[in-house]
Amino acid sequence: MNLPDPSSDAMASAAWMEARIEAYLDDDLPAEERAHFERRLSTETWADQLALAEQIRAGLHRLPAPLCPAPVTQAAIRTARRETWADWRGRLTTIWRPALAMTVLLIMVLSAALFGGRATPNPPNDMAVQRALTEVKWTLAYLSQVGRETGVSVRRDVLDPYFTPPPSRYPEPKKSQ
Amino acid sequence: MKHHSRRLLNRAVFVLFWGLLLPALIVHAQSRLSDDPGFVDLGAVEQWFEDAPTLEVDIRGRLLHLVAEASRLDDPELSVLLGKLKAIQVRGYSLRHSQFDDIARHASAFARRLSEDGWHTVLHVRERGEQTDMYVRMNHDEIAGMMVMVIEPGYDDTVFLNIVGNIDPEQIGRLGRKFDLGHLDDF
Repeated sequence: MNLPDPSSDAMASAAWMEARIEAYLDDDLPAEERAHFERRLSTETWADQLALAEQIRAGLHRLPAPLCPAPVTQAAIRTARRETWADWRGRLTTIWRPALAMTVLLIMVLSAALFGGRATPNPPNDMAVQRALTEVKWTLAYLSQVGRETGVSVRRDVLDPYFTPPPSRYPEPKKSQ
Repeated sequence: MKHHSRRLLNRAVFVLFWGLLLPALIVHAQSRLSDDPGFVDLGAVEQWFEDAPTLEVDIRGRLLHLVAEASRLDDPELSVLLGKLKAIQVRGYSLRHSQFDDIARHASAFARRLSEDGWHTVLHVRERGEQTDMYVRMNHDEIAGMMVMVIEPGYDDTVFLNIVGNIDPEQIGRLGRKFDLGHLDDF
């Protein structure tokens, strides 16, 4: 903490106060310095100094804001952009370039892994599709036939033990010698 | 210091690379047809026979999709059926009477493996030197695949058939009756 020594001379004390008027108005003083400053305000003529500083500040705020000349603004923007790009380029070189390369590589690998296996180098032509359609129909017809034939077999297996053939009305013809 | 940070960066990139790549490869592997619960590898069957199959049907992926599209106008029901399928595989073999017992034994062992893998026997017919088996595999209350094995001496009469996808057996029967069953080359 930088408080003036009570035993020091008045000039040093005044210098201490002057150095802190602006900070006091900006509310930037540490609590202890602020308390000391306010004590001095009530006991000395610094209240007038403070009022004057407030007036000056208010007057400055009322002044119109000076406009920056257009060429200066443009030059400043160009410089800022150049510095920003240089900063990005530096980051790309050190950190982002390897990460970016890995990301691109990952996208390529993922694309190949997810879609590469499914892609057909040459799309099937109409003849291949018609042939496949024929094979599909044949397969379905075959399955249907298996279902019908096995259905018949199962029925025969199930029903045969309970099935008694009707007695023949006429005796079997005698076999000729 | 710089060397150390570069090494850290390299490690981070390595972890990032494999951390993203491995899950993607796992997802890809899971989407393969051979991992589908309704898929049966008919390659195992080929080893039972000395000769190459006399009948071979292998329709899957984009070709199956194109076939479904091609039949949309002429036969919308067939198109809808095919739209639910992922693959149709058929292998037909010529079988001599002397080979029947051997192949039937292989087929029984194969059927046991299917049962162990969660396939359900729908049909099991043994009749006069013929053997017909039909299995389905369920996945979340839907049929995931069908496997049919018909073992019968003769030319092209021994057939192994696997349909992968959500099958409606009634619809297959209904559609199949519409198509004449001749030799495939006669179509």
